[in-house]
Amino acid sequence: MIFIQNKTTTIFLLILLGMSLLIMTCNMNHGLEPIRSGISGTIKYTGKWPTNTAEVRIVGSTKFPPSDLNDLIIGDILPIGGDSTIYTFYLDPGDYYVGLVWREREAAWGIQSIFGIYTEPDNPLAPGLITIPDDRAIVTGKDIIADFAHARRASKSSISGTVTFIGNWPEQSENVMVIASTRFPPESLLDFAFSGLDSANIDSIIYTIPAAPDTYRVVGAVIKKVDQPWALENVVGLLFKEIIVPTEDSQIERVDFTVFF
Amino acid sequence: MKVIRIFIFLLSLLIFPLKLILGQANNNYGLLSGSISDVNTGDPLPGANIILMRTLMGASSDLQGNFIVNKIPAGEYDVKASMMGYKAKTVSVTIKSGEQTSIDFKLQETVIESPTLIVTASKKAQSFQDVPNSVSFISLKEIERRNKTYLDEVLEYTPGVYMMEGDVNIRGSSGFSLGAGSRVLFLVDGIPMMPGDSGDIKWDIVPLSQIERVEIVKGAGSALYGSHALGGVINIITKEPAAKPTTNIQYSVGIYNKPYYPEWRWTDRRLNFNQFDITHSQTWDNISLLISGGRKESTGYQQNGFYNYYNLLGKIIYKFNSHSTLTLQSNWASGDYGEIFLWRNQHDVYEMPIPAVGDWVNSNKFSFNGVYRQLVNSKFTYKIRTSYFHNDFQHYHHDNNDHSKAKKLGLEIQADYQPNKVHTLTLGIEGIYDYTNSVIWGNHDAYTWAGYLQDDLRLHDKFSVILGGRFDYHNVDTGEQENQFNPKLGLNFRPSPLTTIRASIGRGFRTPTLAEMFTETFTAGFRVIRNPYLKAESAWSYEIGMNKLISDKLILDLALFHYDYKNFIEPEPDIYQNVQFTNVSKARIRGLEFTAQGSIWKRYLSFNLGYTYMDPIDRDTGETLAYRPRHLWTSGLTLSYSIFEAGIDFRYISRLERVKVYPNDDRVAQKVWDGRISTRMLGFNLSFNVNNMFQYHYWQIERNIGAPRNYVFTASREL
Repeated sequence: MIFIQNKTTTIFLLILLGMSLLIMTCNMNHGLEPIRSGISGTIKYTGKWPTNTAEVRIVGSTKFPPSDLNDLIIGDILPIGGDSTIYTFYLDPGDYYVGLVWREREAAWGIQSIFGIYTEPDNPLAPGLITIPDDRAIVTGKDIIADFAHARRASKSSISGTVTFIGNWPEQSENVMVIASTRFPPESLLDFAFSGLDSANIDSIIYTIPAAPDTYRVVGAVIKKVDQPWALENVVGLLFKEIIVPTEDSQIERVDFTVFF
Repeated sequence: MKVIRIFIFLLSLLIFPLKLILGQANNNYGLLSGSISDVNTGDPLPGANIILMRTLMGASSDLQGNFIVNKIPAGEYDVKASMMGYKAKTVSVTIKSGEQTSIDFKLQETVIESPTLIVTASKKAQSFQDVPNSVSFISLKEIERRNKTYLDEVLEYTPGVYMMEGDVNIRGSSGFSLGAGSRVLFLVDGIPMMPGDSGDIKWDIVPLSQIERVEIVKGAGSALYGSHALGGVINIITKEPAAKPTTNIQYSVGIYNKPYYPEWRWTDRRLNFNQFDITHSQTWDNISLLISGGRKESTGYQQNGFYNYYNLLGKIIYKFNSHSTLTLQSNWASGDYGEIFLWRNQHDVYEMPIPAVGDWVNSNKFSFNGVYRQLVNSKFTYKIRTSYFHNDFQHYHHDNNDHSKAKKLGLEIQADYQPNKVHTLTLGIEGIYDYTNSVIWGNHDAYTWAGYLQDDLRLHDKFSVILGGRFDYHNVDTGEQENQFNPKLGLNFRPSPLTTIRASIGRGFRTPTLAEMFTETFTAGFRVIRNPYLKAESAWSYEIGMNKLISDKLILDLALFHYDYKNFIEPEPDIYQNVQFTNVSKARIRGLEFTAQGSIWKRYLSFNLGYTYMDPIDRDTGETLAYRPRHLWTSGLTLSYSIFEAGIDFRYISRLERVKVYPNDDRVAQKVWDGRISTRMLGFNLSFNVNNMFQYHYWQIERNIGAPRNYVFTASREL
């Protein structure tokens, strides 16, 4: 109070107060905001954790299959070890496919490193599309099974060829992609490697499937219909052939086949 | 080791015979002495500069404001007295043989906090109005006002300068380089202070309490400084020892506010920081000493954000006589620092990914420099400097225990020669040796030899030209070599005593650091791949500008700049999350910068503002360069009355148009308001700051959140 008795100090404090009020009246926002909506569930690991595991992350994508890592929304790094873990993946409202990627120590990851995908509860061969309705919603119960038998590091290996289509395409066909499976009949979405998407209603496509080193039993073409999710029921052609991708640099070419509608 | 032997040989060859070779040209001397004081209060002004215009002679005033300049050849001189915060004054005197001439300067205080002498732009003291580049300053007062821990936090208030998590950008020069290689050269008292491996800036190497001022020269500066001076040069001028025994203590304590959004409140702990510094300086006859020690400690505002380190600084100045001095300086900083990775997710931005929680690094830095200065006669002066910088770190990460050691040795011999009143030559040679022993980038070394020459031509009282160039030869142990020649042309025209028009063209370059060439590691989820074939990047910088002083109440500066970059070295992530430093592209950054500083209302209210517009383009793709904003704004308002001072500052960095790592993440502009108040009471200087007072949340690089509101209280006093 000693200071307040001094006139100059009073003027100083008044000006200071005025400036403070002026600033406080400015309409300020607070910049970045939290993402409050998301997807949660439990991840159940099957198989043994590889000793060379560097990290496991949850990832999302607005399309299925994602063609490369650019299509992925990179989420949290998950704890290493254990049989299961609970996750919450914070995402803006929208429709997402969710999975897990694995990375080996001193190696990069690629699209082949996905070793767990959320699937429809009653169909392990159908990717599950999850809808986050609004910016406060946490969609719960979206459990994922991650199988370390499918944990692979990034590789440049691939299977490629030409698919020729003869006859009339089924109605409502929108896109087509080529898949290769390590098992037949397949038991899981993780048995498949996927090519990129091509438009339907054409005579032929040249495809490339980023395929990790393994032995593939069957190659097939799958179509997607307008406003319908991907479904293996829409397989329109299969080539039963043992295709061995021996190394991470192997490019297996001329795996051609024809689809008769 | 061969290079070290060459250094020592050159040093011994050159340090002793120069005096004999050059001798003393003139025995017809006089002496100039006097005092410098404040015209209003009569208080002596210690640390003011005295220069005899158009000569190489000068002095600084001591603690009592007195100065002496010895051995001045008889003749007519203009003597200029200047000090930051005061209006410079020039007086004509006649020095007579064998006589002492005395002048008493009484300087008028001004609100313009710019030094009238610059030491960085030409590697020697020169008048601010003679510098052909844009220059910004941070004064001691400004540093004290900010109450920060690291210099990079203070630099954010400088026009045209912004930070990217430790990478300093001058007009968009650096972008974000993962802390490996700075496009801004960092000097302490004119000596490069960047480690030999990563070539980045270690902001903790000099405590803020020991900085007298900072000079920031914008644009390419390789014509004198060589590698790194691509976007500009930052030179820290440290405090000088006091004439009488003086001990200062300073203590700061601060707390972080909880984040604005409840979702982001990650701990119940009261997050805080504190720092303590003590400094003693003293002079005995010919020896002056300054020694300083400090401790900084913080919980950090993020998980893993803690640090706890100690620093020491020692400076000894030995005056052999009035014309030759030896300055020895050493800095040491050592401590533990939490490792900040990318945030866990946008719901938990202050938390780290679970596996990385608890990761930290132990880091140690040590430097030792020696500078010998000799004024041979009124026309010739030289200095020899040696420098040693050691840097080591040890990671304690969940996934690696990487460690590295690096050394940098430097030797430079510089001479200034003024054959007549038109020419002032600055010439020198420099050798640099870098060595690293690391599990991340292996064992490598590199050396550089360079020579430079610059001529300051004063063709007319109103017109001067600077012409110069430097040649650098750089060799890496793998056989990679670089030869670089960097010329420079600067023009200065003073149509009136208060107006300066300047123009400059210069080339800058940066050789890739050993870290950029040889790093092989994993960090923050990325695999970094070596590229031993990296080439040097280079830039041409062009600038025209005008500086206008309107009485002593307002100073305006406008600059137009254009930088053309070639072989830009950038970390390029691929779709597999591999990162490799590559020579990616040609780039161009052009724009304008406007600054104003002044006062109104009988100087009770002072203000400063700076606006920079940039147009940063990748010339190969046509895209905007990543990590470069388009608009920068800084402004401040300070109200001073009697022993009180209060102020507010605002800085704005527009939303980054392009980033590389997580382009789909949310991005916002930076809009940060800071408030401050200070006073002097009972012998203490007291200050209180509120930083980020409106709780604005932003990031400088993806997934690394900035600090929430925080409060800092500082008390300091001279014992």
